[in-house]
Amino acid sequence: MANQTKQPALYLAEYGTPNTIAKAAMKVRDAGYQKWDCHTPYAMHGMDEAMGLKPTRIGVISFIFGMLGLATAVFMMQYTNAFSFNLLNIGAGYPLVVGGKPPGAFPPMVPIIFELGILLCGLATLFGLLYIIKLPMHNHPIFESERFEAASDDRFFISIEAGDQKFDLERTKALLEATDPISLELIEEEVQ
Amino acid sequence: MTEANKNDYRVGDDGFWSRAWVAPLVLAIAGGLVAVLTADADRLGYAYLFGLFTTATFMLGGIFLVLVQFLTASYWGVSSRRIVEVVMSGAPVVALLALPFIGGVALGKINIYDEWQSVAAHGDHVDAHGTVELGASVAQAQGHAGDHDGDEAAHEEEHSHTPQEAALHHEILSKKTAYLNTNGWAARGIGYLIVWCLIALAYFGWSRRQDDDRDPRHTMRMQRLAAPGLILFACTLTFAAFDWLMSLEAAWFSTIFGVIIFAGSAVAILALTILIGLSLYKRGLVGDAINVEHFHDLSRLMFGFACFWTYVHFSQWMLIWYAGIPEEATWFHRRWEGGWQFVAYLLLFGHFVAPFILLMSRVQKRALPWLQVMCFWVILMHIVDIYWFIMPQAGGFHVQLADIGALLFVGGTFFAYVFWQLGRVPLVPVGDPRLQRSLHLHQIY
Repeated sequence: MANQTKQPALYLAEYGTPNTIAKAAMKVRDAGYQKWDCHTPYAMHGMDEAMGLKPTRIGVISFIFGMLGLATAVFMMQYTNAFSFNLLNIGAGYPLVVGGKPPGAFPPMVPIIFELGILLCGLATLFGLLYIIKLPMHNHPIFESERFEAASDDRFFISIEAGDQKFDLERTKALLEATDPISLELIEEEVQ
Repeated sequence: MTEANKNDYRVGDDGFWSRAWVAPLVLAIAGGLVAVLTADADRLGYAYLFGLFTTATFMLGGIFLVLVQFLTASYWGVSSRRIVEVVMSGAPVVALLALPFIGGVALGKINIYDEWQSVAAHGDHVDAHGTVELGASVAQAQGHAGDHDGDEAAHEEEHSHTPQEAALHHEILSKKTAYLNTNGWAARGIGYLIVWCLIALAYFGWSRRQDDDRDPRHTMRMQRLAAPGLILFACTLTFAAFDWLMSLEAAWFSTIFGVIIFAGSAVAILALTILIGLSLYKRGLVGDAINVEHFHDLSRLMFGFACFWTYVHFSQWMLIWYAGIPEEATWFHRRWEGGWQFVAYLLLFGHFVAPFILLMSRVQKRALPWLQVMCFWVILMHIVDIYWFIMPQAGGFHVQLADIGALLFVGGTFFAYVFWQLGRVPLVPVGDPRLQRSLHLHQIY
């Protein structure tokens, strides 16, 4: 491509200890940034408070889809097995007597209601999670940084993305410099 | 650990918990008097079994929870484990209170197991008669056997509508006599009690010794013995449920029965641990050693076991409902007719639907006053559950003072001991090598 230009993607600040990154995270949080993240070699207790993370919404998604699966199973079986009414002119139900039980008997439906509820709940949790954590994502400008490889070894990083409303080349840089990072780099990405 | 330095994790000489054992003791005496004064001999047997078994489930749940924590080498529950251990340490009290019951049944003073006891005692009749003719003569033959067989005959008639059915009923019972006979029953009962006392006292004793010497080898030993201990526990609990509860309806059988009792016990001990823990926490007796993170974990397990209880209970019920075999359906028939239908529905909504909806989210589990109310409710439902297992055998739904009295007597004695014990020991296992990690428990979600 002939006319490729570069634009800032994110600031990446590097820290040597869990304590320094936790203090830095609190400063970034208090400054009101939204699109930013911490990258640590291991899960750190207390980081969600230091970052001001809100509780995840995944439970709500799971609950809604679990209930949806439950309702679908109840309706499907009651409609096809129990009633002979003609709903919305799409055909009559098909009352079946199995094992001498009444056609609308609830107990044998419970396992299916349970299974369909679990199925939709599980799938919704998986795909809801993928959506929330923005996967699949094939590349991210943060991998432009050579230093960032140490995030899986012994270094701690804070990244603030340029997409953040408060992002400002000068002020964000000043904020991060004030937190005493080992290194601070601006990562740019190519745009066509 | 500044908190720990200030706080010795003991109840101390004054305050609510130093005198808490008085209240259950008073209730026990009052309940015992009420039960003895108001009940007839037959009802007292059922009522005492109800009180005894309900109380025992808390202790059994405690044994399970302690063993499973050592089996999994978990650290989340270390700081709340002492409460469970203290409840578990009431095993000798349960054993002492069970001995009169076992003795009463063995000596024929308690007649609630007459159905199989009489068949076991007069088993020869079965072979002497033809199977089909026998049905008509069972009631008659038993009518000559002893004092209580008048009731027996009426009972036999009520549930066996044809001679063929009566004969089948009797044939099943006579085939069970190798297991269901008075001597075997009593010997097994004493065996269960010995096993429970051994496990409970050993684990409580080791944990107490670790408080003083802080030796991690106690933990290693308890972990090693946890697996065989759990196997022993599972077998004894299952067969105790068979012997004491399932054999009330002597011809009936269900292999999942013990699992249902186990699930209920686990729910009960978790709710009780949360309640005692909350009370200690609110009075500042455990400092921050048991905090909202630990209650969150305990309530999650309680929620899970309430669902598990529903799962196994429903499995048993649906299979029997689907097959519709009279021999199996009698048990549910008794627990459905005569006013018991309401109790069955109460269990469905109270033991499952209500906790399921009202304890589902993180917010609900971490709101401690809310959690406290739910735990009281769940324990109440557990008591109703055991009541529904036992009392339909005595007739229609009719709560008698004797039932409540017997529950208060056994439960009160047990908890008087447990609360007294709680005042004597550190409220967290201060010598456990995993305690430090448990103190810093943190729920990411």
